Amino acid sequence: MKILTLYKIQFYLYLFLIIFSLQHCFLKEYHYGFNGYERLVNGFLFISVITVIASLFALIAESIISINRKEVRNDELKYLFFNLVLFYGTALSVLYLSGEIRPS
Amino acid sequence: MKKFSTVFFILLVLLPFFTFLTPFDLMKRSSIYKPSQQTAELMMQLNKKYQLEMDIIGPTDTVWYFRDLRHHRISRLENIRLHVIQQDSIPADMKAIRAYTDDFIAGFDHKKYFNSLIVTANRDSIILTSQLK
Repeated sequence: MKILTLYKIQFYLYLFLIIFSLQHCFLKEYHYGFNGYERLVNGFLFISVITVIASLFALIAESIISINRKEVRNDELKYLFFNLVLFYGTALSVLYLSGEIRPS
Repeated sequence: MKKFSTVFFILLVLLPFFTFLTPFDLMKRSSIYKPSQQTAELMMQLNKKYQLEMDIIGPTDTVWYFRDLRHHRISRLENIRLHVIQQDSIPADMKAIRAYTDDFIAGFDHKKYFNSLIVTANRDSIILTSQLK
């Protein structure tokens, strides 16, 4: 698998998780009318935590590969930068969603 | 230059984990009961009418309580508590409190969500209970 494909997968995964927590922020009162929504939020929080921990290793490995190439590939560096910004967004959304689950 | 930028990037990746080192429940707050505007107005009117100082103490976790009610997950309804604020030495004026609770039950909108109304005075002693249904 090319590294650029990995970047794209990562990019859309981050975007997906951030969009979910954004829509949760604005529409939660409406969504809690559905019975299974609480379980859905718990699932998304779990996926987000796994993603944040995994992308810690992924981003470090990717940066070592992409920055230290002999010829500069602008596509990869661009995606690396966007992924870093979206990674911050995902980490913030984990913090937000962890305040939204039922206190035990 | 490349080595420097790699190290700088790795530091940027590690940066958000300084926030994760503090406990995850930074944003968790214990929820409190907040009466609706109508109920608050009703309380204010009755407080003026009977010269008493009453407070609502709702069920502990209100948001999840109402969400569970919506999905019929709760088998037993909780009680709503009114608290009389008064001085220790003066005994509670029971006549006024009884009239107060009758007026309150008549005007309270969310009767169907609670089992009964409990009035407490100092040191959480229960003075009066009345069914809401």
